Amino acid sequence: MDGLNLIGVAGFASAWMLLWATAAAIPIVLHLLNRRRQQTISWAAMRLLLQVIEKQSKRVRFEQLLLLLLRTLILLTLGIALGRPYFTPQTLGETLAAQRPPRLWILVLDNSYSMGYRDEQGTRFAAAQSRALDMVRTSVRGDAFCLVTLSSPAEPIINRPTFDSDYVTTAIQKVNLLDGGGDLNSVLTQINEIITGAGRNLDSPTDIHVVFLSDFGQDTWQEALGSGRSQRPLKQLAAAHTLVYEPIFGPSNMVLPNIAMMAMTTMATRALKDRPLDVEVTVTNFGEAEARQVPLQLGANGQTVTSQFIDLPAGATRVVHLNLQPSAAGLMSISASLPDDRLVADNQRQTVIEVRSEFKVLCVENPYSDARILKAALQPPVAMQSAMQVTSTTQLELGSFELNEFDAVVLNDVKSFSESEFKKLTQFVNAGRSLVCLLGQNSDPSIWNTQLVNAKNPLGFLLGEPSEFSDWRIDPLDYASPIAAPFASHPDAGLLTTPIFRFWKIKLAENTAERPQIELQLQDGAPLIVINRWGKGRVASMLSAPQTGAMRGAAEPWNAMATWPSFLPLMQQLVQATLSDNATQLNVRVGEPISGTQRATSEKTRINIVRPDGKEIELQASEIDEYGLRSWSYAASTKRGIYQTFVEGGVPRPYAVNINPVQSDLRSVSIEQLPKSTEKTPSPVTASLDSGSSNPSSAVARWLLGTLAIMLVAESCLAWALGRRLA
Amino acid sequence: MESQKCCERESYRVNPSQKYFDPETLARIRPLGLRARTLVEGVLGGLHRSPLRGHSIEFAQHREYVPGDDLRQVDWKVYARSDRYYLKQYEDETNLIAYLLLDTSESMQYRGANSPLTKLEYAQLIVFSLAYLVITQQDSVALATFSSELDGWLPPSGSASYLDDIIRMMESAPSGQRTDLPKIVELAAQRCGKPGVIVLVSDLLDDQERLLTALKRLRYQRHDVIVVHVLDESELTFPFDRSTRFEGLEGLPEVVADPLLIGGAYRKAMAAFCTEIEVGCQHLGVDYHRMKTNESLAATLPPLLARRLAQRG
Repeated sequence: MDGLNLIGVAGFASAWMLLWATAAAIPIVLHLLNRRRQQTISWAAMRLLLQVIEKQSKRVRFEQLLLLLLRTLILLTLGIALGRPYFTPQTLGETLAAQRPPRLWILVLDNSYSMGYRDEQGTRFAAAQSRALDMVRTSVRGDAFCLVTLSSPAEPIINRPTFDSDYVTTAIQKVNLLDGGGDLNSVLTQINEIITGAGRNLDSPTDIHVVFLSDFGQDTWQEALGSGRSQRPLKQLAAAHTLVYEPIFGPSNMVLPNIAMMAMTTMATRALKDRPLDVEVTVTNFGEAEARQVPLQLGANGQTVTSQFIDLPAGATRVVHLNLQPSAAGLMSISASLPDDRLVADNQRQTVIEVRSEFKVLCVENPYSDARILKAALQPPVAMQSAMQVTSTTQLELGSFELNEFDAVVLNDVKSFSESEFKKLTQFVNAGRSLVCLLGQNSDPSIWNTQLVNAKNPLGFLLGEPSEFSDWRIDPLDYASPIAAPFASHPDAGLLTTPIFRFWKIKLAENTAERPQIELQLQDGAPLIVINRWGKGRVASMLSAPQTGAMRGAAEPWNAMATWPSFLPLMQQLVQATLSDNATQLNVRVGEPISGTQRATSEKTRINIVRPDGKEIELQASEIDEYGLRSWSYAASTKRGIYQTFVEGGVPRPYAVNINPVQSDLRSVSIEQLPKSTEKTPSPVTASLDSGSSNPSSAVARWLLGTLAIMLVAESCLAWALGRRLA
Repeated sequence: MESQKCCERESYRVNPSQKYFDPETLARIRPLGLRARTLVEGVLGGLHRSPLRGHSIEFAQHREYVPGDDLRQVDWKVYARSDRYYLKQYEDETNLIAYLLLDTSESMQYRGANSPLTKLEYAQLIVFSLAYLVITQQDSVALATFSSELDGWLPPSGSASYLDDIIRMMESAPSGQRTDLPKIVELAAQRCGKPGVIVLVSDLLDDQERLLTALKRLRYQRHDVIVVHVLDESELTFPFDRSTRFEGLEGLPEVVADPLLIGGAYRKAMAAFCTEIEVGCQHLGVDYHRMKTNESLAATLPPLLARRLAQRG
C-alpha cells in the first residue's frame, strides 16, 4: 500500500479488497515453481538444441517476461480496482499528506475590515487568502470544498460541495475585503445549511473539516466564548465535525498599534446655511504607545475645511470638536480623516447632512387656545436668528395648504381632525417630515382615539384621562434626550421647574412595531414628551399643550409653560428633535441598506448609484405605494464611503456609509478557548462512494477497469501470438 | 502397442542372439528382397543387375552406333529395316556387396520415454535385417561400426555363418564416443574398393554439410548409397512440458531450458535439419530413409525396399 502511495494512490475506499491484489503473485509463483520442477534428460541432438537456444533464448525470454508482467499487472490492477483507490497526489509531500479518505473542506474566510490590517508581509486578508489557496492546492483529489465568508451577514460563496479546485481557487481569489464586521452566528447558520445540503449529496465526502481563516478578533469571536450566543452551535459543530482554527495574526494577546476614528457626529443633522456647524469627532488610540501630533482633517464635499493636531495617549479616547460653516444649501458630505496607518478602514468617517436656509413650520392653532405664543417661541424676533419660518393657520384652513412645502407641522391643542386630515398628516409624516402634537385641554380624547384606533397609530399611544391638578415637576431623564440635552448645562433655563399642573395620561399602543420613545417625563413617571417613528418621519407628542396660565372661563389652566424661561428652548428643541431624524437615512453603516423615495408624479423610475469604489449600479424604483411614493433600496453597501445616487436628470444625492468601529480594537481571542473537535475516526467513505457518477474514486476504479480490459485483450493477443510461434 | 513393444524389447534382452530374427519383421521383408538401385559390378550373377552392359540373355536397349563401337554388337535386323546402325545392349547381373556402416556413438544410446529401443538397438536391427537379406540372396555383406573412428570392420563375405560374426561385432562395438561422420565416410570410401551398396545407419547428428560432401565422394566412387536416418520420436516432437536440464551427450555441455518456450523453434530446426539432409541426398542420388525408433521395422523396412524396387523399375 505504501508503495502504491508513492506512485500516487492516496487511499482505498475498500482497502480489504486489496487482498485480491495478492493474486498478482500467482503467475510469479507458478513461474518459479515451474523452474524448480526441473527434470534431467540426456539429450542426443544437443548441438541442434544449443543452436536453437542461442537463437531463440533472448527474444523468447523477453516475450515470456512481458507475458508474465502483463499477467501479474492484470491481477494487480484487478485488486487495486476492487480496492477503489482515490487521488493521485503529484508530489511526495502531497502523497505523505494524502494518507486519508476524502474530505469536505468548508473554508470560512474572514473578510471583515479588521482583516485589512497590514504588516510587512501584507494584509491579514491576503494571508488568509493565500492560506486558503494553499489548502486547495495541497488537497488531494476527492476532496470537496465549500466557501463562506465571515462577514455580516455571512455570504455563502460556494454552498454546494465542489471537487473542482480551479473553481474554488477562482472563488477564493474573487472574495473581496469588506468594510463590515463579522457575524459568527450567521456563519454557523450557513455552515449548518451547507452540511445539511452535503448530507443529501451522496457524492460529498462525509469527513467534514471546517476551517476558520480569521484574525479571531474579539468583536466577532467573543460570541463563541462563555455565554455567547454562538458558543453552543460552535460546540455542536465541533462535536460533529472537525474544526480547524487558522489564526491569521501573531500572538493573540498582542496589542497592535491602531488609531481609529470611532465616531463623527454633528450637533444638528440639518445645518443652516452660513451658520457654524459643530462637528464632534471621537478618536481612540488602541496601541500601547502614545501618538503625538496626529493630524485630524475635516472636509466638506471633498475639500479640506479645517484640521487639528491631536495627542493621543496609549489606550485613550479623545473627543475633538471642529467647526465648519456651510456656504450653500443642500446635502453636504462631511468627512473626517486620520493619516493612514496599518488599518486604514477606521481612519475616516463621513456624514451627510442637509444644509437649509431655514425650516418651514406650519402651526395649526386652536383659536380657543393660546395661539400666538407658539409662533413666538418658534420664530422669535429677527435678532435671535431663528432658523424657522413659521406659518400659522387654523384647522379649518389646513386643507388649503400643500403640506409638502413644510418641514414640520405643529398641531397646537387641536380638538380633533377629520379622516381626510388624518390621512394627509400621516402621508406627510411617512414621507419623512415631522409632526408635533401639543395635546391640551381642548383635545378631545374620544375623537383622537377613534382616529388612532381605526387607522394606524402614528402617535404610538392612546389618550387616557387628564391627570389630577397638581404641581408636576419634569424629570429630565439624565438629559439624555436631545430635547433636554441643552438644559443640562443651563439649569437656570428652568426646565425642571416648568409649571405643569395637568396633563394627559396615555396608554402606549401595543400594536406598534416600535414603542414610542419617552423623551421627558414627570416626577411620577408619567410621560410628558413622547416621540414615535412613523414611516420615514417622526411624531412628537407633548401631553400638556403650552399655555400662558391665564384663566379662560371656568377651566383651570393646565400649565403656565409659556411664561417660563424654558418655554422657548423647549419648543425649539421639540421641533428640532423631530427634524433631526430626517437625515438619519442618509447615514448608514456598512451592510445596512441605502434607501430613498421619490414622488409618484415623477415618471423616472431608474436610480443610478455610484459606489465609493467607482462601480455604478442601476436600480429600479418600486411601484407607487399607498402614500404616493416610489421607493428604492440598495442593500450591498459593503464599502465605506460616499454613495452618490442619481435620479435621471436629477441632482446627486449622497449617502454616507461608515464602518462599525468595533473591530478597531485588534485584540484577538485565544483559539485555545474556542471549542475543540475531538479526534475523529475517519468516516467510512464507502457509503458516499458507492454511488454517484462523479465520484473521483469511482472514476479511478472505472479507469482501472478500463485499463484492465485493455490488458486482458493485450494478454490474449500476446499469448496467442507466442503460442503460435512456439507451436 | 506400447506393451507389445516392451515385450519385444524384453524378449531381445532375454535372448540377444535371437532379437535380430524378429520373425514378423523378417517375414514381411523377405518377399521383397533388397535390391541396389543401380547396377553394381559383382562376381555373382543373380538377383541384382550389373551396371556393366555385356553379352547377356536379357536385352536392355538400342544405342545409335558411333565410330569406334564394336561392330559385333550392331543389330543388323534393325539396319535391314531402317538402314541405320544401332547397337544392341544387354543387362548383365552381377554379385552385390553391401557395405553396412553402423553408427555406435554416444548419441545413438538415446532412448525416448515412448521408445522401446535405443537408436543403436534399432539401428542394429536394421543392419542385421539387411545383412540377413543380402546373405540369403547369395550376395556379400561387409560391416563397419564407428563412432569417432572406424571401430570395427568385417570384410565382405556371403557365408551364412557370417551373420554370427556380424552379431558379435555389433554387440562388442564400443560406444560413448563422439561421432565424426565425414571422417568415417572418408575411411569407408577407402576400404570399399569395389563399387557396391553402402548403407549408412546413423542419427546423422553431425555437420550436415561435411556429411553431404563425404557422401558425394562415395557417389563419385560409383557406390550406391543408402542413408538410414534413425531418430527417436522425442527428438522430432520434443514432447517435454516443464523446465528441463538437458545433459549433452558426446561431450556437449548441459543446458537448462523451458521446452514450452523453445519447443516450436526446436521442432522447426529439426525439421529443417532433416529436410536439408534429405534434399542433399536427393541431389547426390543417395537414397534417404528416416526411421523412428518407436516404429516397427515391419512397417519401415518394406517401404524402403519397395521404393528401391520402384526406382529400379
